[in-house]
Amino acid sequence: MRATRGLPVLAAGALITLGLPLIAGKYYTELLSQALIFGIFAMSLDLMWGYAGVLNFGHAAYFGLGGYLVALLAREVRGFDPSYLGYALSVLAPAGLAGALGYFLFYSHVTGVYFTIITLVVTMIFQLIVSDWYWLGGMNGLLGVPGFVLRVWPGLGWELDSEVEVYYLLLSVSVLCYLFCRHVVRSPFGLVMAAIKDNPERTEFFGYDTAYLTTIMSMISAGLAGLSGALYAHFSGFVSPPLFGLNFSTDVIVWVAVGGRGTLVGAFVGAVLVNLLKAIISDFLEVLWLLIVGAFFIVTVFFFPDGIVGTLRKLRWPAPRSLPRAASMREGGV
Amino acid sequence: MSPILETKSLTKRFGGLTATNNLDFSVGAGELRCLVGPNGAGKTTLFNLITGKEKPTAGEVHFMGESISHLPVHEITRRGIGRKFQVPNVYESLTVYQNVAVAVQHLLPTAALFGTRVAAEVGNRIGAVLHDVSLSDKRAMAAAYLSHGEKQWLEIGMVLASAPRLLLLDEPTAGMTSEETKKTVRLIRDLSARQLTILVIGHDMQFIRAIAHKVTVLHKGQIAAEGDVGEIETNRLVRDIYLGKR
Repeated sequence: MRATRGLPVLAAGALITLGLPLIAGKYYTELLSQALIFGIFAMSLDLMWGYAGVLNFGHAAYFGLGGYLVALLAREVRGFDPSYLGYALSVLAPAGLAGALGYFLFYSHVTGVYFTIITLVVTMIFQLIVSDWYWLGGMNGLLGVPGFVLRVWPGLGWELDSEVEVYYLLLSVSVLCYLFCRHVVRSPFGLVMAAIKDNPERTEFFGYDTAYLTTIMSMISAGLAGLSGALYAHFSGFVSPPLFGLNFSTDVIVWVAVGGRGTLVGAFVGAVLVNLLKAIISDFLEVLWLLIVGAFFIVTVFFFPDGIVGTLRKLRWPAPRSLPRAASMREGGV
Repeated sequence: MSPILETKSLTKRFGGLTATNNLDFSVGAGELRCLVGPNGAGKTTLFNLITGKEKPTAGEVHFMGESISHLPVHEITRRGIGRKFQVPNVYESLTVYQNVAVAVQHLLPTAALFGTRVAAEVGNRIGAVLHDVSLSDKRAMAAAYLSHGEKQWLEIGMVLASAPRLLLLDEPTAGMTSEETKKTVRLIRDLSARQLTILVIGHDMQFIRAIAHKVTVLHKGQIAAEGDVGEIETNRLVRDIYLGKR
């Protein structure tokens, strides 16, 4: 039932996303590509914020870590293309960091605003380290990260050098990441996360180790954020300390809030819309653009607290059908 | 009847207040036991100590012959102690079906949580539980929209779905209409007939008369009396406790 109703939306979405680079021109295609990377990053935040109810105010730490690892490997490794190794590390290292943070925080019942504050400090520590350590490039960051190469064998690879090829690569990766996240939130694990978000104590009394499960979710989220950081390093060719910055951590929260928390797709909608708006407005209003983007954010959050996608879904499937749809609900014959 | 649950010199102090005082209490396997006592007698504290929500100041809780006092809440639950809270404690944002699914899924190994499909027996179990608590036709409804009595049933259903060996019910009929109370009494007797060990906290004597064989009266964290419903009702000491004479 739902699949057929969603089909026109899906078809229109596919047509637009596939067709855009053909009409958008180089500048906007590159802008959209970057927005897709930011969309993956925003979606990783949504996993924690929207589906576990935990807001990470230092999510950029995972993005920056992924990006810096890729840039360092590209500089230090000789003799073979380290990009796949880079992708693997950029997922594993942030996930490991999230695991360590989860072990110390969630297991000690540090949640809510306290968790948020600690994550904020973590990303600031990272920013300080990379800005002051010369080996990591200091304030200049690390330059010369090679672009995307689809390598099938050492010495045999396909360099993506046109902006359209890069766009389609990033679109495919985005779709894969989205399908992965959708699986996570609709699996029985996703249902338990929804339960923990709703009522952690009750969930513990059903025999779930809530700290452990929240840590797992946080590791998945961090790994995905790290991957988006790695993609960004290859895309832009350099990494710098602001990737760990507070501003960037705030930006991603804005994207998720605008697009719709707890919707996954909303993360992309928010990232694309806000970045597009920024680019267009800053073109003709060099000073005022930030104010306008800020006002847009306030208006959206104030009038549409569920974000753009969340609001559209509510219009389409009014409560109580607009509840989180996890695997077991399909079993329920809804 | 060998005891399934035993407390040994169990004591819990909150600052200067002793909520549970050197308590030796036991429940036999398959028993349906009622726990009564005036406000502040230590009934809910005893539930908190059994389920690990509070750690005892001294003494131990034994379940199926093993000490469980040192275990975290989720481990104790996994050993087979299910708890229904006094105030309905359900997932308001989830559907009735999802509520029960959360409870059933804890029986799965952690790896299975990441699978795509829920096993058929899980679905069957959810269906059976929804039937037991008469919520089959509301399975797709968000729990927030249920009436107070239905929420109470849903929570009882969820706890049953988690397949406990010992069921702890904290005032299950609180806030229910007399019709709903009757239905709950039937449900509890039905469960007891299926050899489930049940420990119920009650306030309402009529409800207790309807379900229990054996009643334990708590007062100031200790057992003041124990016996059949009839014995307890005519017990002078118990009357004095309830009238505040002791």
